[in-house]
Amino acid sequence: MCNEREKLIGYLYDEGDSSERDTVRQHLETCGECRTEIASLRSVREDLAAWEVPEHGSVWKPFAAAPTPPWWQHVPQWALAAAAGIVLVSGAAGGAVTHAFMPHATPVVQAAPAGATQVSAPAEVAAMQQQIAMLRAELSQLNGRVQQASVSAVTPAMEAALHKTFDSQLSDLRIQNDKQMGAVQSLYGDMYNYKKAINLRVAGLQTNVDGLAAAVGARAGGQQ
Amino acid sequence: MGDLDCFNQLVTRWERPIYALAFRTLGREEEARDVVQEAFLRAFRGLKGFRGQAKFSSWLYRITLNLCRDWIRRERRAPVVQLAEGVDPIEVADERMAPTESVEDLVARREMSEAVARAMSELPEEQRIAILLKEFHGLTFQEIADQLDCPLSTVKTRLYQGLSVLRRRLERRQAEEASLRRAHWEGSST
Repeated sequence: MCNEREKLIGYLYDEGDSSERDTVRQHLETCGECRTEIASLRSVREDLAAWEVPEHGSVWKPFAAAPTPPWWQHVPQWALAAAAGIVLVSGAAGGAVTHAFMPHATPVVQAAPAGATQVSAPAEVAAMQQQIAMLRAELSQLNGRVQQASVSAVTPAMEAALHKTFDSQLSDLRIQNDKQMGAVQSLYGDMYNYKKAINLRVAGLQTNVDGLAAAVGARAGGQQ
Repeated sequence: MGDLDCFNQLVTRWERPIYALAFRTLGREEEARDVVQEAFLRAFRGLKGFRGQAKFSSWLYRITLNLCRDWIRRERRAPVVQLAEGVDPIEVADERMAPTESVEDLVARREMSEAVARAMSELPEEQRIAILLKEFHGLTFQEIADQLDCPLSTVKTRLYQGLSVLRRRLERRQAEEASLRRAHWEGSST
């Protein structure tokens, strides 16, 4: 027992197996050396209790919650730019589509060209306005979704995936738009040529009419 | 209640014991403050990884002790006993005196505190930490073994050896003081 320090320490701190502590207690009744040892260890523990920690203020500055910015500040700049780009490109594409699907009128002399242009222009504008209204509705929905989404929920991987999707869609729209703009330019070219042809034809007819009028006048003078 | 509020409450609950552990391990107030600040920052950053497999206090003690050990190894410095320079113990005693305590008792207690701090600072690190965790933080032998990554029997051995060394040093100090008092009394009586 006298050499079993672990049992004495367990007894000193009143911790461990109760039967072991009972054994130590019985031993102490008969062993003066161990009684002295336990008493001196208890004395050291009392001395230790005198060890003070200097007074100190709070070391820690509590965390404060960051002020919540307005929802639109949560929307990344690239998302706003992409949304604006989609609106512009889609608007242009809508206009181009309207042009592309317009019925192609063959250049007919007797048709009143100015009247035809005046009739098609309001229809085109109306179609583009409708297209713009639809895109505005889409943009509004997109804003709503962005507002609901928490910025903290957007991981870098999600942001990269969104970038990729937007870039891909934007690229598709640009390609489509380029093709349609080509078709529109071609259409305008045709219209210019038709108008020029019509003007020439009108001028020719006018000349004929003038010639006929002169001939009619001369014949009438001869008869008189 | 948000995470921040919960964490601030935990800090409020554990700041004093963690500071006491750091101060008694390092013996330096300024470094102890730095360690406490860093310990709570690490705890906050690691809070998501802490899944309650251990008590929060055990986890915090481990972080703090690791930081203290890092500091001791980095600085290659043993703990010191910071004595208040140019401070009259009687004046301090007036400020901190309990209503039932005499000035003489308080000065004696302060001297004993410094003597214990000095004796503890001279102990090997592992013995010192085992005694700190047992005496001032009430950890069980098993909890200390978990903190120090050592067997239960090693903890008991470290406690026994540490307390024995402390006893010898404190007894020697008391003997020296008694000798000084005797010499002073004999000198004044002749």
